[in-house]
Amino acid sequence: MFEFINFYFIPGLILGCIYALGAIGITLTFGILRFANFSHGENMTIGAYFAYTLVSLFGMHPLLAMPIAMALTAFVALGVDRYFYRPFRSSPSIMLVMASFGIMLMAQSIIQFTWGTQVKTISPGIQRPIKLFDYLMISPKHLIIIACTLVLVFIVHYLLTYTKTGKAMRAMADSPELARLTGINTEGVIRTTWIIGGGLAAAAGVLLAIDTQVQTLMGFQLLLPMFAAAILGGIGKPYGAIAGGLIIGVAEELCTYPWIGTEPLIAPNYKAGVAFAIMVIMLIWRPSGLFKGKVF
Amino acid sequence: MSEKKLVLLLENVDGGYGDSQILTDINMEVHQGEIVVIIGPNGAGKSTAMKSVFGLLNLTKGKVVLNGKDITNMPPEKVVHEGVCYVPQTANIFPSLTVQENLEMGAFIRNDDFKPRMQEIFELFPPLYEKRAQPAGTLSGGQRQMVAMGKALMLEPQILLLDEPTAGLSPLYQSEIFEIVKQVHAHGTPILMVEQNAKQALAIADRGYVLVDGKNKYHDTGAALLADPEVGEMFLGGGKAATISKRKPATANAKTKTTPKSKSKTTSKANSKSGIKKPLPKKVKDPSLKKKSTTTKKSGA
Repeated sequence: MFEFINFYFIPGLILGCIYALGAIGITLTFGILRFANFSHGENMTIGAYFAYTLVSLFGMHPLLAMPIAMALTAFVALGVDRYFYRPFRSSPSIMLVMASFGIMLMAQSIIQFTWGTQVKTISPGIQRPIKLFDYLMISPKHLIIIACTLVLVFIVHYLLTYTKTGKAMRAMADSPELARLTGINTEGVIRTTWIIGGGLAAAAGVLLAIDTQVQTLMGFQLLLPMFAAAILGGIGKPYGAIAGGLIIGVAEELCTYPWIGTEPLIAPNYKAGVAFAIMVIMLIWRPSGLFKGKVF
Repeated sequence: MSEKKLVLLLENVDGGYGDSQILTDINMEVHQGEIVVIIGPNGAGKSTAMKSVFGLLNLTKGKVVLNGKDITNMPPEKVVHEGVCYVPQTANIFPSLTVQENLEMGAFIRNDDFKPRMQEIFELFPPLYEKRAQPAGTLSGGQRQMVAMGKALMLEPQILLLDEPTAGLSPLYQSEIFEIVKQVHAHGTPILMVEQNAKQALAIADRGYVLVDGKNKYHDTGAALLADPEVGEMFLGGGKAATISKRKPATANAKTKTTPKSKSKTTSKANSKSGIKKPLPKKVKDPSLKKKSTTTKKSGA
């Protein structure tokens, strides 16, 4: 039982937290700007590299570097929007999707060119897990990841529920045309969306780097599970993205548990397929997702 | 009508979407304190004429003037700042936002304290106050229209544009919407409204415009248009006995009618009907009667 929790459920929860933070940005851009942003994974990667640079240059604690990396990434996301997406604002969304695909490739190359392709680490070596109730084990870095995710989700919740801009974001995700007719400052809302989406992606990247390492394809590898999380939760629904991220993260890990016999149910190499299976089933069975998002 | 202040004027307007021209030489006026209704057959350009005010259309000729200011081809986000509020036919609320948040969004461009105004809207539409914390998407059709109008009224607009507010509603709700329109009007906001339900709309209207094929066809007081046999036959169904065989295809109708205003028999009727313009006592039906399924899963965002 404790083995199940320690080695399957908790790692699933950690992965789920990282998916959730990334998926919020994907679902917000999808809902408000109406396109699938393929370059979102690169926001994660670049956030992790910003944090790595700060940690290695100034010897900062990764948690201290995280907010700075988030701000820098938000700034990058705003710049990309200004020069690459804004000219396409009234174009069909497929053009934006293609533009984001191009930006993804460009960003990957720039990151590889700037920081090299070697794997790097920012976490302070091996840590001894904390023991709770004799058997329950959780390592400090996992506690950090869960705590950071909770804090960030709470901030996003506050922004979306209680601030004028947050409400306008939800309004625009509901209906961009009506938002415009109502006089909502749509460009301002779009900028806020990039700031929140970019910042959270960077946070997810830093947390992933704390959990594992920093590598140039880290964001790209998480891109599709994050899309699966956004679709599972319902496009345009941030709370759905959080739930979807957690469900997919946990489901991926639990599928490797030896439910039948002693062999893993699904070989760990194939666990990424679980996210896609969930995504495909959702698209067939309930394309609006768990939280009744948009159907495109 | 001339003694009342002119709020909105459309003068010889031509326009359409892209290259296709839909409106030809449209003239329209809305004065202070008026309800003006646009009626006409399907595809006559009624909604298009209204959209021309709101900058949703490419106008090639003519001008749109609001309170003496030229707003021709001004984009919608700027027209809102000029004090025009437009309630589209569909998708006119933010379904996942609560009723109160919808009203707050209506006041997005206001930087002052809009709480008193929101209180007034809640007094105008008591059912909304009860359901202010509910997502607007869970409300019934009639109440959604209340939200849509309340949202538009948050700006205390110079003029309110309503695009077929009763479309797709049951007859019970339709009458309710007309009651609401009268109430809103009684609070002093001039209204320009497109309506399919011509009979009821003309009954509460000060004046009506009949559009056919994107052109002005008739123009008279609401009561006069109601009483006009030709208009009646064409657009109002001509009474219960009127059958499909009797109805003429509106587009094929080439009859011209220049000055319908000169009819004397209609004036007496117009006077008798004019009582309806006066503000009526507030009347909102028991919301519990039209409670629709609120069991829909609460959406998260």
